[in-house]
Amino acid sequence: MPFPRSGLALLLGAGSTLAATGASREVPAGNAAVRYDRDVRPILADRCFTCHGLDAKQRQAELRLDDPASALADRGGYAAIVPGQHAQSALWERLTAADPDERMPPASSHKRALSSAELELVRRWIDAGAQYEPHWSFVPPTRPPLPAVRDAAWPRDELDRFVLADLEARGVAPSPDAEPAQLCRRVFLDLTGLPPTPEELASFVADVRADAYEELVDRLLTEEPYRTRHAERLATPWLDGARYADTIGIHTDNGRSLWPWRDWVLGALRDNMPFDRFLTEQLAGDLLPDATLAQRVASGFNRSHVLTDEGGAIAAEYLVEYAVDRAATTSSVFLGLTLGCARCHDHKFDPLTQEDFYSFYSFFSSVDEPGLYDQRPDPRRAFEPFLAVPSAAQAAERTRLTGEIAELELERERPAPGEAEAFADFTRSIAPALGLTWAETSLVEARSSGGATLTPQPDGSLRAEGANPDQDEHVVTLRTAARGLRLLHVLGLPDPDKLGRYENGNVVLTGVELSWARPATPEARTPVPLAWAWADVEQQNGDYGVLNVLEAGDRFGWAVDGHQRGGPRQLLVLTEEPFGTGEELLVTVALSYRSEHARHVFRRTKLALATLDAAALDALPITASNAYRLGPFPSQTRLEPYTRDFGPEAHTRLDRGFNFGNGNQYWARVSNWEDGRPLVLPEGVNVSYTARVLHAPSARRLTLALGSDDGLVVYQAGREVFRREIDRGVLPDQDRVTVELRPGANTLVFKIVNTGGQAGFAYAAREGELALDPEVLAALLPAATRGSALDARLRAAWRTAISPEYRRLALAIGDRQRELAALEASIPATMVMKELATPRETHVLDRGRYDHPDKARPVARAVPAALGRLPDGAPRDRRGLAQWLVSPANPLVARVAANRTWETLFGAGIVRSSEDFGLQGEWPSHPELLDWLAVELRESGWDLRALVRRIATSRTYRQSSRAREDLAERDPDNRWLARFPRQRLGAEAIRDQALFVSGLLVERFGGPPVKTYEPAGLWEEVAMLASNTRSHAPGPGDEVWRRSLYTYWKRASPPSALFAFDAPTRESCTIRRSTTNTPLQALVLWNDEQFVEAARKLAERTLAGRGDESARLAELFQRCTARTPGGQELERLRATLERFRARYQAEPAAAERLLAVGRAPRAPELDAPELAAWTMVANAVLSLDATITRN
Amino acid sequence: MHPFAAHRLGLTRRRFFADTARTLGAGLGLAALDSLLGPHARAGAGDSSSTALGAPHFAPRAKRVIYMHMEGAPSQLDLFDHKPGLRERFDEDLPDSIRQGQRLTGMTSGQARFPVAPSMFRFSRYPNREDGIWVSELMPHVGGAASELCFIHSMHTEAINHEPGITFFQTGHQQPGRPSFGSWLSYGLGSSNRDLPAFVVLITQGQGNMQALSSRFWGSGFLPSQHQGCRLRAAASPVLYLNDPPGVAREDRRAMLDLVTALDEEEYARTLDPEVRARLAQYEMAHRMQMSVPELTDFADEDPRTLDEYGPEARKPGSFAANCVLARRLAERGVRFIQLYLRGWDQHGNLPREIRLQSKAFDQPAAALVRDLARRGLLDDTLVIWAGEFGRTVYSQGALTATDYGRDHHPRCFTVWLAGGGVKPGIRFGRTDDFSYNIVENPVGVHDLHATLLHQLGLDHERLVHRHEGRDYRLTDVSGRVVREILA
Repeated sequence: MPFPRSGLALLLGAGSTLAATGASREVPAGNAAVRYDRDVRPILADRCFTCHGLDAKQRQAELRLDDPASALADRGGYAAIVPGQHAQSALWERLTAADPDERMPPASSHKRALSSAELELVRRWIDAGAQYEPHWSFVPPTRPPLPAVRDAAWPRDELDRFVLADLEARGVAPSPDAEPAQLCRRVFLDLTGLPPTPEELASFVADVRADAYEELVDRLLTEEPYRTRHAERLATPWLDGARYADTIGIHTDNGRSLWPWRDWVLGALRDNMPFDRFLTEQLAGDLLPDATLAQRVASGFNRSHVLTDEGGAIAAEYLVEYAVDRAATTSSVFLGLTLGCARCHDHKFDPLTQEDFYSFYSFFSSVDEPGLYDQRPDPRRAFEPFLAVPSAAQAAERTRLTGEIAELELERERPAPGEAEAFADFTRSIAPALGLTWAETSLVEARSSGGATLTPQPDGSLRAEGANPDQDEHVVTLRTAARGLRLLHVLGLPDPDKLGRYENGNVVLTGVELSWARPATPEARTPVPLAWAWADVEQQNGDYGVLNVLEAGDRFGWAVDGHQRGGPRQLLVLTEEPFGTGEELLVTVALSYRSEHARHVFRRTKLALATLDAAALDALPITASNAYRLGPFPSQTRLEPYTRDFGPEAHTRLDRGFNFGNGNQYWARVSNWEDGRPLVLPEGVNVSYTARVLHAPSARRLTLALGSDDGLVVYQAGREVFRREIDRGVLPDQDRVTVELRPGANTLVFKIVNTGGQAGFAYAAREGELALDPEVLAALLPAATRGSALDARLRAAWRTAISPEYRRLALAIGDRQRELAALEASIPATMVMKELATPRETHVLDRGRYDHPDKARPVARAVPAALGRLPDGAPRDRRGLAQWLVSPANPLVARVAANRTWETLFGAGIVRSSEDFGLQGEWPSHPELLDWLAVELRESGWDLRALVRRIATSRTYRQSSRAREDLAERDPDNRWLARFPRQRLGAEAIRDQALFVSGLLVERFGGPPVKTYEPAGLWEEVAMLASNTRSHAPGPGDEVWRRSLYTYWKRASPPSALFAFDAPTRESCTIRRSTTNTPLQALVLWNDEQFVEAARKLAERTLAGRGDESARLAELFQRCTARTPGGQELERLRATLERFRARYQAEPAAAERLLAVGRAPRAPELDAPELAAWTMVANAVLSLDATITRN
Repeated sequence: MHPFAAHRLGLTRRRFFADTARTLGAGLGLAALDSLLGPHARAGAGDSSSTALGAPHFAPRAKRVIYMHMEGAPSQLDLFDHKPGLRERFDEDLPDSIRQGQRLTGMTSGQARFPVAPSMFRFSRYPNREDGIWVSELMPHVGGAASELCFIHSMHTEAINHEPGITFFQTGHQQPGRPSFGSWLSYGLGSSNRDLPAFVVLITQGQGNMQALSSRFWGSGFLPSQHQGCRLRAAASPVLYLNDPPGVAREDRRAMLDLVTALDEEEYARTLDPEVRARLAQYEMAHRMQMSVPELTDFADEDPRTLDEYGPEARKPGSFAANCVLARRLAERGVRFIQLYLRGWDQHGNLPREIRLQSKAFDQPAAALVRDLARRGLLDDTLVIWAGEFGRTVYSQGALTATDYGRDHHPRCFTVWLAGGGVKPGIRFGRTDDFSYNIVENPVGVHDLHATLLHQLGLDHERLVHRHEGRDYRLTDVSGRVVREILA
């Protein structure tokens, strides 16, 4: 049924006010019509619908009073309501029953009995025929005719006609227009959030043109800097609704990056984006065809809810909570309905069922998100799904760098002239340069401990045949007369195509031992200690590094990856000292195969010995073992870990069999950890260890780049060589530690002390330029043994490491890659919506519990049945939802948006409960005006700015705000709009104004959030140690003076000064802030560092002005209130200034202390006592009611 | 305007104040009333039959609350829920018949087995007003005060993780957005002190693994924001922004405030807006707070023997002991709701060592507070509550040895205790099974506890409601039962 328009004026006649439910409603006087929707339903809804309404679970006696079919039905000779006959209606009987057991509502419901006025309404409604009607806001608005008014000269805009017609019907005259100065300050604050400067004020007051005011409004809406300020002003209520903040809100309350979305909102408001687009891109920007980057950024609206990273949290539970929040916020912001109420059961009052809720919810429940997020140290992290959002300059720079890198890489692929010869020279010359000579040897004996036969082959290799035991040792004795031997070469050869005797072809060599004896005394063998080893291939999927062969006694060995890759294998082993004197010696090489992998034995091996110059040892690179870790060892205090040894500190070698704790605390190899990348270690107050063994061919000095969370102690061979006691998050390269390595094995143990939260460790080491690249070492091998694969690797390695042309290009590429990486790191990321490929199945959740889906009640995406349905052909996703929202068939969206715009300027909406247009919401003060504005908004192409302009230039808006004696009783809340409402400024405007009038405000559009002044220690007191928003420090430079909407919003501890003035925590959607008045607000204005500093700068600015003392005081006062002091005001200001002047002249030191507050430099030419006295006066003026209120 | 007309206007407003006062509760102080005059707050008042509290709904037994929240959730098994039979079951698997497939946190859901970890601490029997109560050696002072305490062993909650768990305990709902207990009380009863806020929060940093706090735990949700808790900090400025800037003395602030008053009075004459005067009243209260808070936090007037009773840390600002002394001083001054937080009870591993330290910080001052209140006659109408957000598991998390174990979160049962405020002293209520895993007698849910506490304060939990976004909300949501069995 359409909204009946006639007769409204009748209802607005004189009548006694009544404290009815919901809102203060007027009882239609005399025989005027009683309306179900406005007069009766609120009473029934409040007192009856809980048990006789929509909620089937609560329903009593199978009676629905909200449904005429049930209320009027014959119930066996009687009916709850008999139209036209209240006395025959059971409802009336029960409402008025004398017997308390009979009377409704029952005492057990704690509902108040109906008052006589309420009963009267019910009686008249029944007698008039008990006409039910749909709720006004669920019927799409149509444009009502403009009402006639007697005083045709008063209205300036159509909207004024509605207000005036209403006032005339009540016999009330509107208020006179506000003084120009008052109007000027009002419209500046309402539209831009900042007051006019004295110059702007003076020029407006002096402008006598008839359209001076309209022109001012146009300027404020369309010209810079006002246009940007206007966007910043309008953004604040939008950010409240979208629950935008800079931390995740739960557990660690870690930082997160969503500010590009906030900037998108600012840009859209600045550019007056049509509201239908504004809505669509925020709800479904990611789903639009060929979505632009900006449109996808806009979808961040639905990601700004709280998130959890609490270790034990259950992901499925939070997936539900996130989707519920999105559904509830979307419905509150755009529909003005509290859909969230239907999560657990059918809505008690509004026609919204649980099915409706979950159908709506399912638009938002298929996001590609983890539910429970991991914890990371980066406070600027965007939580997945997210997008990188480069600025235009950043995007251009990225294109340039990637292009240059691609070009250089192409160039690098091309062989440089002369390179082939240079390579040949290198391979020819390296052996002589290092003094490398392969010794002549002859085989004396070769035997196997396990019974295999080692048969010499024509090429000098030995082939294992016959018995094939699980474990074996091959002992080979060679005769040689060489001198100064240093290197052993073990060549493993495929035979014919497999390296190992085990069927998969793999080999694990667990030990190499070397000894010599004189031929005369072959049993008197001298062992040769080994220092270092190198291999061309090391298997990566376990503790299989080549250095394992140097520890012959254990089961750990060098695995050759023979089951995956063919070709020969090369092993070089360096001895600690040269051996061989030139006389004939018997050199014995023992190769052991004692791993847990049975029969992983080389099929064919060839051994060789070589000399090396001592000086050449410096050319061999350090070889590093795998990384190992141990722990955590929990600790009871945060300091104990630094002083307490858990065992590994004293260990000089890495014994992987040693148990360090009463649990199983053994060294374990770390996999998938690259140098320079942080390794994540366990949470808690504890100690973890990592270790490496570095094998140096000669004494070396090596610099390590380390990072740790939190503290770090480094031990080398059991001796402490470095200590850092600190609380921090881990980054690569936080500490540089130089260690002196001795030839052979060097054990490094890193003790990582964690004082809370996650721990981490990063390690990197860089060798000096002298050592050869490990890959280039292949050049030492006899060319004939290398094989084609190794040859190719050698050639590539040589190019990388040694070819001058190649190195030039590599350096050029490296520079650009570093630049690119830095650029990428500086590109902000922002959270966005991203649908799963397959939507999650959704069911009604029993009582809203995540783990109780009602499998019998699956739901499909749909809009609440009472409000309409998706347009035909619309996609069943958020895009389709947006299409429905902005379609003319939608009853709510235009009304809700128009109402919120009205609220922004008038402080209260036409529907005062701007968050609730449902049955429990308030009746609009001017229903036809609201519909007219809603239709106007929609038909103007959703031009929000035109609507703002219309309201701001209306006569209604321009009225004086002075309270009126004649209305104090009749309209105490100014619902009739017979004057303009006086309103305390919002939190942001109060702070911004203080910054602006003092000249401190830094106006810079958008960008990352900024940290302003905040009392010390507040964050630490509530934060977890693991939180990356654990401590607060004001941002650098002028960041502290940015507009308040850019202030870093930590949900667990929102900005204190704003919070004191009713800013919300932004944990959930806030449509309407409360406006309270507390002592804490006074303390902020008096004592907050920001306000004290602003008072000083305001005083400095005033003292720098012209005129005598009175003129200056007047200017200071006017700057803050837009009026000149009158009455006794100037005298009081002067007297107080004089008092402070005397006080600070008597104690200049106190003046100095006061003036030291705040980081803004102080004007050096000003006398301290004088400035301090003015500062106190400015402090008072900034605290005036007239300053923090707009009239 | 004619002076008579202005007088009438003022009268009208005053009548309105009176109406508002009736609808919100007679206890609402004038200052708080003034703050309700924002149009939105006013819109919310008086619009629902069920918010209409003429006074507390019935005669209260308690006038104020001291609520000690043990953030992180202390182990009932190692403190107050004595299970001597577990000694023989060391390292045995928790029987399936006990665990009943209950949901686990993400921290132990991957654990292969659930070995029983008996408490390694000795328990002794302390006299109460029944047949005594077994209390762990970690809590000798609390044990000694048992005849004043009412132990509830059968507390249970719905949340299994800290954040939702604490939010549930403080606001009656696991998700953010609802008003906290203290703000409901401030809303329903107002303040009885003109110089201090009605709801004060004191935080002590703990010894071990500290979970996060959030201002939502003392936030006002959708209630007007003057009902939110005011943090009293162990900082130079105990209340935010309380201290005048350097170089500004008390008389200077008075002179500045006199100027503001004079100018605001002219503003009032110009606008006739009663908000102007309401603001001045708040400014005066702020000025009084500047005096009363330093006097409150200065222990110079305390008898040294009293401070000694609270233990060696009583003179160390911010310690739990000092905050207990402060709590008593706040109670003496009529502050309605005093919330203490002690952080750091989350002992997943290394429990024996950590709980020993935590208990040491807690035990003596808490017992001293109860005794001190009793001695001063304040315990009769002060309700003291001790609670964590849930309990801990009987099975060990991580390695179990004779002297080392950890315990995971356990929502199915845990112990809280109450004192004073018309609660039966010296009793035990509710019982758990031999594993302190399930409740076998008299379960008490969080909403039940809330309903009971409100009841003692003269409020019917089903009638203390606020309409927000079209729905009547209450602290106990849609459930809650007054546990009359524990009331004196």
